[in-house]
Amino acid sequence: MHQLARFLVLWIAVAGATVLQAQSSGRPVNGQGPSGQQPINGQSSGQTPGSGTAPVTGGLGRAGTGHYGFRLGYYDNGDSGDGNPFLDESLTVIEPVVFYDYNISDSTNIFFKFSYDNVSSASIERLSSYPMTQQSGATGDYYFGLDGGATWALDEDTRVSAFAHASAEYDYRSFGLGGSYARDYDGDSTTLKFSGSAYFDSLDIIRFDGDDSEGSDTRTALNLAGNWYQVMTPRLHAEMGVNLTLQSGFLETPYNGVVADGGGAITPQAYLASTALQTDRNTTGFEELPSSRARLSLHGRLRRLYGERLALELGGRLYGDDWGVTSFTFEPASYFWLVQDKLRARVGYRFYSQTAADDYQESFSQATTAALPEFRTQDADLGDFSSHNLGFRFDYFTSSASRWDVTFDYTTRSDGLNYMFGSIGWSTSF
Amino acid sequence: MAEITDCSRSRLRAPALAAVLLAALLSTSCQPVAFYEKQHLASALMQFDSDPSFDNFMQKVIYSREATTGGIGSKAGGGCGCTN
Repeated sequence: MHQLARFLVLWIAVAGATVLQAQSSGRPVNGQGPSGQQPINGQSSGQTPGSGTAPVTGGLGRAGTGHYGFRLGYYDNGDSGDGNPFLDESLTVIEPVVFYDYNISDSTNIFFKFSYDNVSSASIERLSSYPMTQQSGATGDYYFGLDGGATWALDEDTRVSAFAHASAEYDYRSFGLGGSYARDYDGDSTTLKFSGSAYFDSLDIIRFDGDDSEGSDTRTALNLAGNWYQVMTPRLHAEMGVNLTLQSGFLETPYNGVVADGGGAITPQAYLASTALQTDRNTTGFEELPSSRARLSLHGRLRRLYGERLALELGGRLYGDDWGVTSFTFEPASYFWLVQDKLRARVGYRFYSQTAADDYQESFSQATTAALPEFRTQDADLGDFSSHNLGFRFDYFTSSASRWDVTFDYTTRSDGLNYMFGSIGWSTSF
Repeated sequence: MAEITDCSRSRLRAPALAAVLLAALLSTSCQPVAFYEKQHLASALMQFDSDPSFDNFMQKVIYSREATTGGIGSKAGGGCGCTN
């Protein structure tokens, strides 16, 4: 903890120096020009490759230009008795993604993204051994997702966008729509953006023992977001945002079980070794959670360029919801050229801390499931924990238009459910 | 009144730090910057959201393992069978 405190102090000192220098270096000159902000909606697959590529504002790219590329992602977490002791939560995901965006005119950009997830998890393996051979309601063994949309420049300072999303898993389907409105001010030094989206999901209710007799249910998520981007000095810019998400419907993970362990009468070891206990509904109940959830987050970050080879970023987020979860995130990162204009690196750290949901308990001492509280979950991701993440990224620019990148992140969690993820990507512009 | 433990004190420190950072950010006077002064902001080191394909992948991983959502470039959720 002391090391973390020293780290925070160091970053705050850097930020303080940055802010002080910013206050003394700005010149009161106004004009039109690039804002340094990506002109394309965050849902887009667009990017700004290469160095010295002035971001375009007041419009999109030139007609006939665009980007395409792919990313292959990998995620893995083991489970040696951590998190929920009654559940083997090991999981591996491989996710290839391809994306494409194209400026069909000087004022209209379209994009597409296709993703596929291949999932292997302990829950799938366990359920596949049952006669019904159902898969987990939490993790189907495949996922297909398709996103598409467009951004229009209404004038030099105004852009609107719209997107649609569709995805399907073994037992889960989702359809989403959204849009945004963004406007530049003060010679593109300020951008305000408002966006909204809605997702309409349906899921088959497959329980921990493979029972699917309950049919299907629905889940809806509505999101409203506001974002403020600000150029602060010739070398410093920042953005802040607020997100409000309202979810309703079947918000549980149908596969998740809650074990009534009789105050320790059933140990995790005995439970995990016994299929009879795992399928006994007097011992294992369903996860039950409220049918609505309101979630609010505030986030911000600022980034400053030092010389020509180094940029430092400070980011953070505060979050709260009506399930009792609050969280804090602190994310400093550095970006630098290892080889100018050829090899770029990012080293980032992320501290995250959350409180448990009101209905979360690590264990339930009731003797039978009939005595469990109305709302209950043993999902460790809804529990109380903190985490430290260290991430690396390297971008190799093969030309001014194309690049390869490799990323690797490792996260340690206070509850022991550590995980890692990495990816390799390639993209080019034309 | 509930006893304030070391744990709860450390929980209070984090939001307090965030508030300090936020105040520092807001207290900075934003002075107009001319277009010809913005070449540094166009540097490849300075692009926010320069790779949405990676940002989406990272957020999908992180937000599926945390009970929270919302943040830079994130979407409302949906499309996955996870609680979050």
